[in-house]
Amino acid sequence: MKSPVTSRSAPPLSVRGLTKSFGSTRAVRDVSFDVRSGEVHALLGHNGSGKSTLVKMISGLVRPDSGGFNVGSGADEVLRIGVVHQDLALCADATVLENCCMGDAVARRGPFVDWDRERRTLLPILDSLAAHFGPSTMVRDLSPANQAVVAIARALKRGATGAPLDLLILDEATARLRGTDADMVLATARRVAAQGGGVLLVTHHMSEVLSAADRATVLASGAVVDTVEVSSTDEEQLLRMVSGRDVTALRRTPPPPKATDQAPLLVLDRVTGEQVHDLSLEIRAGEILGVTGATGAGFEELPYLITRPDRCHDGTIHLGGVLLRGRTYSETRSRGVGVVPADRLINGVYVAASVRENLSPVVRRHNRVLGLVANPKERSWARRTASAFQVRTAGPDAPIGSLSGGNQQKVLLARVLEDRPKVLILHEPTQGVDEPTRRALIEIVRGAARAGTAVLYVSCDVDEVAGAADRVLVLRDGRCVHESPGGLDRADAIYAASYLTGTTTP
Amino acid sequence: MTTSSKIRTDLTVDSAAAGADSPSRDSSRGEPAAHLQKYALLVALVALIAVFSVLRTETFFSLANLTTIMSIQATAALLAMGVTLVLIIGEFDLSVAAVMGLSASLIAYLTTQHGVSVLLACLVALVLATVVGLVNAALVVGAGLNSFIVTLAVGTLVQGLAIGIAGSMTIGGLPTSLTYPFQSRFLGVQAAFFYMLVVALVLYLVVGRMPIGRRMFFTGNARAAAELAGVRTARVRVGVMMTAGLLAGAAGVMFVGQTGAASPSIADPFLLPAYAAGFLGATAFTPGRFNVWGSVWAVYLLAVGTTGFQFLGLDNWVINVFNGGVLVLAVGLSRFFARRARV
Repeated sequence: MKSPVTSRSAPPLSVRGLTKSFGSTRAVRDVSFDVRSGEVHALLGHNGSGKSTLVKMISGLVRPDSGGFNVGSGADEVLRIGVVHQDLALCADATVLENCCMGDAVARRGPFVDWDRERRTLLPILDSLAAHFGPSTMVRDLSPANQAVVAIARALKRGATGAPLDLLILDEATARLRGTDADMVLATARRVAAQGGGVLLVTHHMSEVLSAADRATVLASGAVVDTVEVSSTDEEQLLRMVSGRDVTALRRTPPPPKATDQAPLLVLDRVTGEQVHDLSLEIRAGEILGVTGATGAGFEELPYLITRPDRCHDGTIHLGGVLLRGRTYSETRSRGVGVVPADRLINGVYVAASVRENLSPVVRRHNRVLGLVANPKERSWARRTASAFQVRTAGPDAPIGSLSGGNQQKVLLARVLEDRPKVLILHEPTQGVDEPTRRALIEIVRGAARAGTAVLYVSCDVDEVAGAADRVLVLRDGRCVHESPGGLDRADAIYAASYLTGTTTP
Repeated sequence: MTTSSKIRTDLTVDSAAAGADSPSRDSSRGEPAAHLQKYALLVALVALIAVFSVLRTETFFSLANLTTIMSIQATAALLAMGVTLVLIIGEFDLSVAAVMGLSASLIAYLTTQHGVSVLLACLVALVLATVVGLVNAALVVGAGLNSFIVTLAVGTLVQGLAIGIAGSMTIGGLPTSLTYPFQSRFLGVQAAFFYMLVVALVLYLVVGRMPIGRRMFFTGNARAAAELAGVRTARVRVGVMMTAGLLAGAAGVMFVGQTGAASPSIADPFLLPAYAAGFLGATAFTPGRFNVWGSVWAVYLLAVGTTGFQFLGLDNWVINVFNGGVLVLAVGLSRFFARRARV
C-alpha cells in the first residue's frame, strides 16, 4: 500500500491544553501530549480518569471547552483519524469487504458498486495486517480478535482511498479479548505504526502497555500524570501513576472485620451462567460485597443471575437459607431482592414518566384505595421519598427526564430501598453521575447496609468498589481470581488483579 | 449488532436525546399552553361541528344527525378502545377488524341458520374472539414475533375461516331479541352508545386509575425497565392482547345488534379509523400517552369529519383521504407531544 517512508513534518497527533467540564465535574484538565510518527502511544488510566472524554474530543464527538489538537499536518483541513471502538461497530451478517466499505464513498462503475476495485484496494491492507481471512469471509464466522482486525482494516482502507491515515485510535478495542487474541490485535497495531502513522492505544490493561506501546501517557482525575518511555518503566511505576486519586467519598483503609458468627444472608454456590463460571460467594447482613474486574470479565452478568435464578445454568442461590428461584424479577423481588440496574435509560427509568410513576411502576399497596391508585396519597408519599433521598426535582409529577442523571439514579435507589429489600444489588450505580452526587449515593448505600441490608456492589470502577465495599472479589473470565478487604489502600492490588494477566492470587 | 426489526408504535425516546446529565429544570412552564394542548382535540371537534353547521345548517345541524352519529359510531369506538389498549403496551393488533367481522357474522350465521339462541351465539363469538387474542399473544409474547405482521396474518386467517363458516354473503333477518337491546333508544340515542360509554368508563378506570394501567404504560414504553422494576410484562401483554380480542368480539356483537345483518368482511373499513383514533387520542387529555377518552373522542371527531364531507356532497373518496390524512397527522402529533412530555 502506501510508501512506508512518508516524510511528515508534523506529528500524527499533538494535543495542547485540552479541557472539558460536564457541569461541576472537570472531566479533562489541561491535557497535552504528542503521538510521534511510527509509534504506538498508550493512553492509560482508570475508569473516570478522563480517557474516554479525551478520545471523544479527538475524534470530534465532544467539543472541548478550551485547548486544541492537531492531527498530522492538517494542511487541507481534513482530519485523517481512524477510530476502532470497543464494540467495533461491525455488521455480523455482511462480508469483510462489505464491512470495510461501510460508511465510506465506494468505487462505482456506472450506477453500481465496483466491488472488484474495492476488493483490490482491500487486499493489500489485509496482507499488511497479516490477516488470515479474505474479503469474502462473513464477519460472523470470524473470531473476536479477527473481527477487531477487520475494524482496523476498515479504518486503514478509508485512508487508502483518500490520503494516508495520520492516526489510528484503538479505543479499548482489546477490552473483550483475552491473551493471544489481544496479542494478535496489538501486533496489528504495531504493523500499522510501522507503516508510518501513529497509533493511540487507549486501555486499562497494564500488560498491553508494557508489551505493545512505545510510550505511555497516564491520566488520573482528568489530568496528565506523566508521559513515559515504556522501555524505561515497569509495572510498579505505572500502577503508582494511575492511582493518583482524590475520591474523598471512599474509605481509605479496610473496615474492621465483621463478626463472622452470623450466618450469611445471600449464598451463591458454584453458580454458572453465560459468562460467570462456577462462582461461589457469601454476603452477610449489613455487609457490602464489591465485585469488579476488567470489562468483559463476566461480573456484568452477576446481578441478573441473582434477580433471575432461572438463568443460572448450574449452581444454587440461597437467600436466608431458602433456595431462591424464579422466572421473573417480580418473584425474586417479592422474596427480598432489590436491584438497581446499569444503563439507567434502558433498564431503569422511563424518561417521559413522572418521578412518582418511576418511583413505583408497580403501585405500592399503601398507595391504593379500592383497587385504584390513590393519587393524593401517592403524590405525598413520592414527595416524602424524594426528599428523604435528596432528589432535586420540581415535584413528584415532573417528568424524570427533567432531572439530572444523578437525581434519576437516586430515584432508582429510592424505588428499590422503599421495598426494604434483604439484599440490595447495585450495578454501576454511579454511572454518569457527578462527584457530589456519587458521594451521596454511596452514603445512601452505606446507610442501607447499616440498617442490615446485604449489598452486592458490582462495578468496573476499581476505586469505587474498593472504597465503598467491605470486601472485594475480582472476576476474570467469569471466575473469581482475587479476594481482598475493601479500602482504597487495597485498590492497587485489586487493579492489578483485574488488569494484569498472570498475577493470579487465588 | 442485529437491531431488532420491531416496528415502533411507541412514543419512546432515543436515549441520547434524554440527556444523561441535563440539569434539573422547572417543569411548570407555560400553564395555559399545556391546557390548550390537553384540550385541543375537544376544541377541534367543536370547531369542526361549527364549520359544518354553518355550511349545511339544514341537514348537518340537526338533532337527528347528532343522535345518528352518536349511535352509529359506538361500534367504532369499542374497536378503537381495544386498539388503544394494545398501543399502550407498545404492540399492534391488526386482526381486530377481522375478529369483529368473525364475531358479527358468526352470530348471524348461528342464530339464523342453526337456530342457536342469541345468548349462546354471542357467548360463542366472544369466547372465540378472546381465543384469537390468545393466539396473537402466544405468537407475539410466547414466540417473540413482530406483532404488526403476525396480527396482520392472523387477521387474514381469521377472516378466511369466517368466510368458510358463514359464507361471504351478508346474512340478515336477525331475531329481535338480538337487535332490540341495541337499537332501542334513550333520548333519541341507541342503547349501544350507552353500553359503549360504560365500557369506556370501565377501561378508563383500568387504564387511568388502576395500578395495572401504570404497569401497562411502563411495559409499552420501557419494557426492560418495567421488568426490572417488578412488572410481570409477559402477563400484562398477554392479558391486554386477549382483552383486545374480546373487545373486537364485543364490537362485532354490537354491530350485528345495531344493524341486524352481518358478513365476515363488514368490519374492514373500521380498522384504519380505529388506529387513527388511537393515535389522535394520544394528543389529548394526557398528551403523549394513549388514553381511552382521547380515543373515544377522536372516533367522534373522525365521524363528524366524514359525515360533514358527505353532507357537503363530496364523494366517498374524501373519507379515505380524510381518515388517512388524519392518521398521518395524529402519528406525527402524538410523537411530538411525547417528546415534549419528557422535559
